[in-house]
Amino acid sequence: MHFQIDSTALTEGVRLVERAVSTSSTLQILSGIQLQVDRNRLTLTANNLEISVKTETECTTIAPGTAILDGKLFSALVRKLPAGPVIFEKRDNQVIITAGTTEFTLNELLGDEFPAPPICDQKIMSLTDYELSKLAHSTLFCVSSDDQRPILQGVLFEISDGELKVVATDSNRLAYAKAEVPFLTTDTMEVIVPGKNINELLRCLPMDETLIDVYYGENQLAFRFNDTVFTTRLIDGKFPNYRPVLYTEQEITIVMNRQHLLHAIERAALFDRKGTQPVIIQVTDGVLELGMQTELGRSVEQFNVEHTGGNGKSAYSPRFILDMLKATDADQVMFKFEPGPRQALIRPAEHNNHLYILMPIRI
Amino acid sequence: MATIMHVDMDAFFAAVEILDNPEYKGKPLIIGGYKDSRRGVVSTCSYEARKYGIHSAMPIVKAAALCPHGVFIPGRMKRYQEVSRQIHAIFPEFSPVVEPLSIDEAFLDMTGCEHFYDSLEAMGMSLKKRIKETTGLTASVGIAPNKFLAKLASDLEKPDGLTVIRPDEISTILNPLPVGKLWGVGKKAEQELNRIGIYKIGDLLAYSLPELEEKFGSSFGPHLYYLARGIDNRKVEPIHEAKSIGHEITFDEDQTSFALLRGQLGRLVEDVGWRLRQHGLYARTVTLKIRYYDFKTITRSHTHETSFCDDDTIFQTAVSLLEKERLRPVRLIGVTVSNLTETAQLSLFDETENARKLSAVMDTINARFKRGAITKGRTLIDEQTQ
Repeated sequence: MHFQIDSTALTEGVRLVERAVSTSSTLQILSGIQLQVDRNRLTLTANNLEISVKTETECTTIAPGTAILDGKLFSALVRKLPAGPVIFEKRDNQVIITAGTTEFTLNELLGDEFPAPPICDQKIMSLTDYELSKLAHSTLFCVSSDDQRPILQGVLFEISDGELKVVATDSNRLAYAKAEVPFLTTDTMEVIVPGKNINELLRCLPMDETLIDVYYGENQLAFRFNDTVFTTRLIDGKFPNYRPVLYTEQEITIVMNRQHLLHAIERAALFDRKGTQPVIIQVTDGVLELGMQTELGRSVEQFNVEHTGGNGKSAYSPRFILDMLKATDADQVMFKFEPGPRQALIRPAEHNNHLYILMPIRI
Repeated sequence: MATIMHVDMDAFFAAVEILDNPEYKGKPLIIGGYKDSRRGVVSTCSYEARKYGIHSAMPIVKAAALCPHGVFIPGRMKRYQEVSRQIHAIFPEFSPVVEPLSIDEAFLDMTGCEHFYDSLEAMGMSLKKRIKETTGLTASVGIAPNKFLAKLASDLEKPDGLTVIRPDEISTILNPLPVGKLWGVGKKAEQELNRIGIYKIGDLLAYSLPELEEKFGSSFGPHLYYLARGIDNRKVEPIHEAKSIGHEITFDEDQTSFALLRGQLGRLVEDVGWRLRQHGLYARTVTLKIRYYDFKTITRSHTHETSFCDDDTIFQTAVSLLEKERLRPVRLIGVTVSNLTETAQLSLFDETENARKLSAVMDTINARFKRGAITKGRTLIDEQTQ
């Protein structure tokens, strides 16, 4: 293996694949980055069995070949290289990297065979990086952190009725986002993608209106864009039936400015140092009152709001409401609720593509 | 000048046993385990037993040797807690500022309330009388200008004592007492003080503050200096909120059977869940504690997304934590719940609602009959396997 590459292209490629470098020591080969060189292309691959990232970039090949280098060291070195051409040459079990007057010699990771990324060849859909990012950001915050409930640590990607639906829930609250995807090549699909893997994917997206092709295969989902393939494992099992949870018939409806509500709840939440106290939401004849009382003191705020339906009050986690208000960029939000152990609904006032459901706190 | 009252029940557990079992009266009564218990320690003993040199924390084996004809019983914690609740319910009638110290002990800040009584003695008598009427038990009461002196006072005329220390009596009472009577001076510290010729509290008065700081450090030095002069500025602090609720059991013999440990967890969980629900609280975290034969102790926790108060959630979490451990012979096992809240975040999928209702029904039955009247089959496993 002997090739030359521009340091900018190399850095970008390594930035993408280093997310899939394993940090646990169980299988040493997984902590490596694989370099494969053939006719004027360098392919970088990392695979920690959760996700794998494979990306191709142009290079000037002198001799094709393959090497596996310690991912942590290699990516740290590449980030510090001076701008300009970088030359790689493999001699025996070492790779010599030369950039200007700088020279490193890295020992190859030997032993096991490098696991090939899973093959996903069933095309599901195409959507832009913006669309994917928006769906993910609207829902990811509801993913559970409870490792005893692996299914809730995932995000449901469902295709039905010609739409893509993305759902996440930690069982106290639920986020639902849907979008019409122009290039749908399957009628129905239900897969659960680990939430943290989606987070890694978001960091890899170019965010320049690039079209992303989504493929399925081997219980994995692959996202292909430009010269990169990002593959994630899927979670086995059945996602909870969320449809009955999407209840929208609450007795009380208010519509108000999102920022006003957000700031008021942020102020109330200052009194909740332990993170366990509810904010009391009371609506009486067009006046919304937010109340919070803790051992530190209390806060009360009133707003005139658009109000339909009856009067009433209920109690909710301020943290949950804040998460939901921050996940949308709507000017006006609709908040529907009713007294008793019934879920409340928060959504943008103008459309119902994003729905946030939360359960009250029993006081 | 503050007025602090310290209340301490006399040989509490033993007194409750004698109350319930009059035949124990006048006999040396030792609570902590049966006579043949190899591991138990004395938790309380009657005044008759103390004459044989038995004291709390002494191994039962030793107590049995000192007093072979004594009455040895393991004790009934639930009954003591029930009486304790009755006693603690009395204190707010006397002062709004109560600091419970233990199951049978409390500080009451009586500052300003003393004017309701003819004298400080009358105030103390009135509390003693109220406790006696309600529970049939005697308490010792100490009244003094601060917590240290009040606690010291309640100990001076035990049992059924009432001692008032007035400001002009402080030095007369303190000076002749051994230094070990000072709050915070344990056996080790007492030996240390004796070594340099300080035996009585009065002996400390010869030392200046800098001298004591030099000998005993900037924390313990001033502590000795001020306490020896009867100065203690600690406030009576009403109880802090409960941070956790837990139960544990030490086995007579080290255990290795998973089934038995699981069954024991079932029992512990019923006690923990009962207390959690009696306080009207919810928890989010379950902690499993295991002490192995070699005294190596581990704790393993899991925090749930949703708060819970049902036995099933506590049990299943504790068991799943137990399953992850590679077991060696177990000496002690315990379960604790924490992250306590008075409010409960409800769940969208209603998973624990049935378990919560079931626990509530079991609580009602157990409250009407007696604890353990109804239990889950899982708590019986250890008897089948033994």
